[in-house]
Amino acid sequence: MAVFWLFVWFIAAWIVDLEILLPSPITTAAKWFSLMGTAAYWTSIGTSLLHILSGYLIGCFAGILLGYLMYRLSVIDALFSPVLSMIRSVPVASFIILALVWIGRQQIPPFIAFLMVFPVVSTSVKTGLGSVDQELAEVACVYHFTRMQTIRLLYKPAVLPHLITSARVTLGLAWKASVAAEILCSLSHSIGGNIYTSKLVLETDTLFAWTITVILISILFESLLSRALDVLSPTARRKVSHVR
Amino acid sequence: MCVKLIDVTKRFGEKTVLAGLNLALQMGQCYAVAGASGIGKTTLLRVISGLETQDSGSVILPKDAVISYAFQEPRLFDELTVAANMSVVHPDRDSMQILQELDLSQDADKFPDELSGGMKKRAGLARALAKQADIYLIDEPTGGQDAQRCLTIAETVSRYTKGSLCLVSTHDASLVSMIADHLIVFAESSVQVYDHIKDRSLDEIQTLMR
Repeated sequence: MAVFWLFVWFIAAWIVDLEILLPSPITTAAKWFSLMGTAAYWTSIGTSLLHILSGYLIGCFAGILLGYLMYRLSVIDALFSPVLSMIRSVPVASFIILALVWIGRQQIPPFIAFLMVFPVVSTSVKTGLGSVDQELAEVACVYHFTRMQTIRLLYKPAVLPHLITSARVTLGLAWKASVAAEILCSLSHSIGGNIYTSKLVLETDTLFAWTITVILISILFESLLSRALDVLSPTARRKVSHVR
Repeated sequence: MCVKLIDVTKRFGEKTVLAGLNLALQMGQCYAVAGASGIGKTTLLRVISGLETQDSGSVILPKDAVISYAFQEPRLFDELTVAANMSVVHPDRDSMQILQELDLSQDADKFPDELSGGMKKRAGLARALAKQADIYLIDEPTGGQDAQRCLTIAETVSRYTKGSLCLVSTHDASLVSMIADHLIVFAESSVQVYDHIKDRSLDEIQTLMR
């Protein structure tokens, strides 16, 4: 399949015959390999990874905490549910522009990644906690389960499927939004910053090379996250013969 | 020492399930609870366990009484094996011995989704019996079991609940005749308690339960 689309790209570039409009796969690959030989390429990737990961992880932790509080305290739920709905429906570009006014440019990509993750994780944790099996909760009540037992045997199986789905969905979203924020903030030494500069100087092959980098990192993220989450997934259960 | 229910009323919406129920249940005795489906047998067990709160009246239990409950549904943790499901209740007895007595010794390392409905039910019962409790609440233990298994279940329940108060909700007259000292029969407008059940024939018990 990939070979077919590469061929289509090749033919399209040959027909257009204008590298500035549509560089060929060969030109793009050559540019990409030359970029990989520079320290700036790897520094930019490192900076962008730091942006996304910091925002993503903080968003996950904050989301789990808020989701728990929303489940436990109806007043928190009533207060935050409309805010979370609002965050989800506001266009990312609007947040980036607003963030340019509110905070320093360096903090905007992590902040945007955070905003992509936080509302989805909060809502899914609240939903997961609400779906705890009430019949098993009664078993826990009768047999006076410890807090750890309750978390492991009741909350974890209920929350994990929701959390895994939201973690998967939001990682891609957060990555793309974070790069978009870097572009709009024209952050130097970042993937988005390099994409912005390529567009300014009309280096379309460089722009394509960076875009391919974004796609490859996104695929890598998905794969790593899938493996990590499969370990936690209830379907990948381990044989437990004795649990205290 | 006994468990006392004083004028206990429990309603679910418009339906009154327990209407001013008064009972004194002696520790060390086994009470079979019979009656038509939906008439309040399970509600009685749930009120005593504290899982259901009565709308009025009092339920008085001995101080620090340990309760063990075999629910009508197996209520096993899907991600745990049968043995692990027993371990979570911090058993005081040899779990493997109980599993063996209930014909589940080969299934201790299986997960609930690898068991039949009847096996799951017995695993739930085994978990309840693994606990050394002051009060056993056992809801329809022979439901979905064949005749031979019913006999095994009756013997096992009788052995492990000896010396404790045991309430067994059931439609099974044979089970009542094998394990019960007393029979509580729920009818539409009354609750009747019959004593000395072990002195009665199976036919008599069946008649009382109708």
